[in-house]
Amino acid sequence: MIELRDVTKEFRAENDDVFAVRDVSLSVPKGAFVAVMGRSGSGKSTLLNLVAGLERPTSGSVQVAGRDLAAMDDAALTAFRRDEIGVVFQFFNLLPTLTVAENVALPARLAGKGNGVDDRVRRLLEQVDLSHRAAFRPHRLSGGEMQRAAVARALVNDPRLLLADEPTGNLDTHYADRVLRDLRAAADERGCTVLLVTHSPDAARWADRCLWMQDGCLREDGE
Amino acid sequence: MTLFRQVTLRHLFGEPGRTLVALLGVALGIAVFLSIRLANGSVLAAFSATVDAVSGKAQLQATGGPKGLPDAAYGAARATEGVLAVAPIVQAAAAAPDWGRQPITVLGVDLFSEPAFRSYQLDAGPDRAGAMRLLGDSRALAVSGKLAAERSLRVGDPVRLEFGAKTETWRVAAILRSDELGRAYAGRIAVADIAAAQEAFGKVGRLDRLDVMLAPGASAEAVRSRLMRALGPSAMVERPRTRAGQVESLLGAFQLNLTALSAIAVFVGMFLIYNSMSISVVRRRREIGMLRALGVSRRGAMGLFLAEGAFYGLAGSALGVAAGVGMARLALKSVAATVTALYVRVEADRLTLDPALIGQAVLIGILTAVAASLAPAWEAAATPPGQSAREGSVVGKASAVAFALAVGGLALLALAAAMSWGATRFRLPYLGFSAAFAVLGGFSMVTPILTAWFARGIRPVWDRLFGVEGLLAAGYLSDALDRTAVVVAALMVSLSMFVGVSVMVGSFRRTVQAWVDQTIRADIFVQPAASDASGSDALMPPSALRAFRAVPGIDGVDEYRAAPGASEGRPIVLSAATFDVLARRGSLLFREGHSAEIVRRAKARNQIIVTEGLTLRFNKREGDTLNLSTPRGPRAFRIAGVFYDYTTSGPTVVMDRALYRRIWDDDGVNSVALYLRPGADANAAMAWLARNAPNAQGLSIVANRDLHDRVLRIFDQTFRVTYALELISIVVAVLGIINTMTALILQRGRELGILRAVGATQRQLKRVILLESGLIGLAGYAIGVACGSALALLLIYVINKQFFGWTVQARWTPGVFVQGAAITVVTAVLAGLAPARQAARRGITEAIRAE
Repeated sequence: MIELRDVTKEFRAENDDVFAVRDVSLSVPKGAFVAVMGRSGSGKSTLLNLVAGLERPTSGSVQVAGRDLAAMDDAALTAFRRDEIGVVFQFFNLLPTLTVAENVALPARLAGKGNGVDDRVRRLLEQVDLSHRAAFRPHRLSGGEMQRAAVARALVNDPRLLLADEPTGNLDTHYADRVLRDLRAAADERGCTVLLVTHSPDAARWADRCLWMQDGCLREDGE
Repeated sequence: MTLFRQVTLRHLFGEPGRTLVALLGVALGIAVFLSIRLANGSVLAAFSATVDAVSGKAQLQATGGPKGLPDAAYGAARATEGVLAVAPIVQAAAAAPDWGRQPITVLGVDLFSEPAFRSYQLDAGPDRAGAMRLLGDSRALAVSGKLAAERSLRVGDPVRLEFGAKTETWRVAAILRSDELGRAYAGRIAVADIAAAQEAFGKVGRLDRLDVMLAPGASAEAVRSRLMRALGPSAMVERPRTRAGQVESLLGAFQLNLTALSAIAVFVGMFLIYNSMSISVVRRRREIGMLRALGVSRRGAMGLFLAEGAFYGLAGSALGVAAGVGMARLALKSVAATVTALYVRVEADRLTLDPALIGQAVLIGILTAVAASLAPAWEAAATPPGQSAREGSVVGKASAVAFALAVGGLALLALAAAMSWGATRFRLPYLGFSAAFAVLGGFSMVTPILTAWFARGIRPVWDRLFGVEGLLAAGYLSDALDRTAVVVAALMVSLSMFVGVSVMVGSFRRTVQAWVDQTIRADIFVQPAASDASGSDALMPPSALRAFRAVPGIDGVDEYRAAPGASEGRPIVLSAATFDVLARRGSLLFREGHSAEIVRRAKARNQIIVTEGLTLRFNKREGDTLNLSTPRGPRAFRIAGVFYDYTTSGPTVVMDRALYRRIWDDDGVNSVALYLRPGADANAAMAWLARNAPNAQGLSIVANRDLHDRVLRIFDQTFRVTYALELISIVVAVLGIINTMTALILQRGRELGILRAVGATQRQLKRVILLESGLIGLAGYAIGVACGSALALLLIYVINKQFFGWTVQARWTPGVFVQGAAITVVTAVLAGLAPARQAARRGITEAIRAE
């Protein structure tokens, strides 16, 4: 599902170039739940952004679902991300201006899907136990509820890949478990490939495979 | 100061685009305000300079009604106790046919009496005999240095001049180097010997004015009374400054009108500063929190933002002064032309840069900018130490504030209604202007809550029309209420001014058009060509009057005279018309009653008819009596009717010509209206006049339709400055949209990043921003139309009526509202273009990381 070959990403700083990701190769099969752990600044979020097509690599190739992201222009990449990838971020995941249901429906509506979106949103909200909050604006939700709504939104277009960047970073254990259970269910029940970036070993335990990131380099857990 | 330099100035220079837009907002407001004040001040200064220069050292001036004073008055004045010196003057405005009918004021003076009053430096060429030549040649002139320079005139050159309907060739005897006189009438002045002038102007044996100097120790008031007794009952004796004062008070209404309109641009600029400052506070909340944690006091934080406001005020005003001076130069001619058309002849060619006015403008710029920064600075001071940026708290607070503001706004609107009632009930026009500002303030204060309701109401509609982008745009409009409501209010104020003034001007134009159609009925109008150019009191030669009666197909000739008169010591325009012709063929628009009937009754009973403007100034109505100064003393006339006259705002009395001649012994005619028999050919009659009238080239012969057009042309010219002011206010409001949308995009960086991350294309993002800008435009339009309609009613029924004495029927033309919609919505969407592009260009991860 995900194929990274010798991927390097460097950011140009004033005096020095900073390597966020250095020569990383990675292969994740379809339906796998992979966690990438590492300290702050280790490059794990940049890795996730490269897979999501939000950043372009300085060198190397990124393939997702058999498509080479480097070959796509911005419009194609946006459409690909919208249809094939779901993303969950750590903070302010939801747009405060929309209700929970509208937030969940957003990627589908951006894709121009009209028919069946409401039913799908209702089912997703049931799955993440948020039916009773559908008409609420995000600021009335707890942090855990917000992240579950974000997971529902990430799944609305039935993506083949789900990317989550520190989704439990701001949650207590109870809410974190609830969100991670939803991610696990996405992999188990929908066959979704999940790439979870986290610094929490508790969160990483929900994954099938755990990778470590340090100074931009990736290694398998235990190496 | 160090903090201001290190923190605030760095922010201001770090975001040059936003800083520049805010500065431009202040600069435009101040520029408009200053330019109108400078142009008005310069026109008035030009008039005062003319009065001063022409009066010289005169302490009193005697004038004598329509026919002026007899020659004998000169001797009588000299013999009056307490009088040291007297100078007789005749004066006329001539037109120079070779110089595009440019008006030139010719003063006829007695060169022997003059030195006590005015200093002349006559440059007469090598033989230095200018004064002698002026005396010796009955067609010799001393022209001003400016005129000589403009027209390359030298001593001995001929100058063709039209006086009334006759054209004469005069000769330049000397160039006037006097600084003092050269300033009068913007330098378009010439001096001739009094005897030659009397003959040329058709005023033999008459004087227009006597300048009087008092003996040392003599009381001006006592001498004035003695002179009035000596010169007869129709003479008016005044201090020269009184005339300038009268003109100043006459112009007051006109000036206040324009100043109030220009103040609106400053008002709109205030919104811009408020917005810019509060954006600054929100964006720098984290920094303020940090500064507070490091020991900066509440007062210090507040001071930092007030200083930023003062910086905007000072720098914006400096830019505004530079632009204002330039704009004043452009507006000067237009304002002078309007004042000439409405009140008195003024020539202004030089801008008077009054330092006090400039200082006042800068002070207003700084004070309004600081005032607009108060609320944001207070918010900054209330930031607890260490707090980081969270937008949600601001949104919640904004909707709570919106409710409180709405309550205050409704109270202000109620106050506006009360003030409007007071303005009409007690005839206090200034209260009308206060009501107009209260309407603007009231509507501005209810704008936030109306914007919130509007956004909520339009959400499903926008969703259906534009999909999720429309949904997001409507959401953003209400969520960023503290930001968007301010820009909606700015747009609303600009649009309401556009709607208010356009409806007023449109209604006024329609009323004038109807008035012209009803009252200008004669087939042909004739007046001396010189009056056409100079608006002066040039008289029609008697030979021409005889020719009019012989025009083929003629049915009636209405001979019209307008001369300066006085009532109860106040100047009026005293007019005479041929009432039987007016009753039979013409028509005036009377406030009450039928034209022919009133005019017939006035003729039969020796009564007068007066303009609406006179009734307001003299507090009179139909049936009342009005005292007029006549050569045989004051005489009371009953007012037979009050008619509408939109050509002047000055008080005018009209009586039958026979009555006027009997009392004032004046045969003069300024213009005639010729009525032809039904079926007669007006073009043929005009051609006949051009061939057969004596000195037909010196006459301006105009057909009915052309006069209609000319009246409307003068009308349109009068309101040209007003349209320019409206446009500038709209530009300021558009700057506000650009500024706000740019700031909102920076502020919503993370949200927009998430939107892109979950699949919004750049195009979709642009659509969200443009739809939001369009909604701001729509909200501004909807509220602006309501506010503008209220303003229009105020302008029509309170301000114009009380100030100018013009009754106008309100007419709501759909065109104004369509234009208004196009201006606000289209400009709002266009203003969103650059920010939309900027939003779409932002990198996604950069935006997400921004928090």
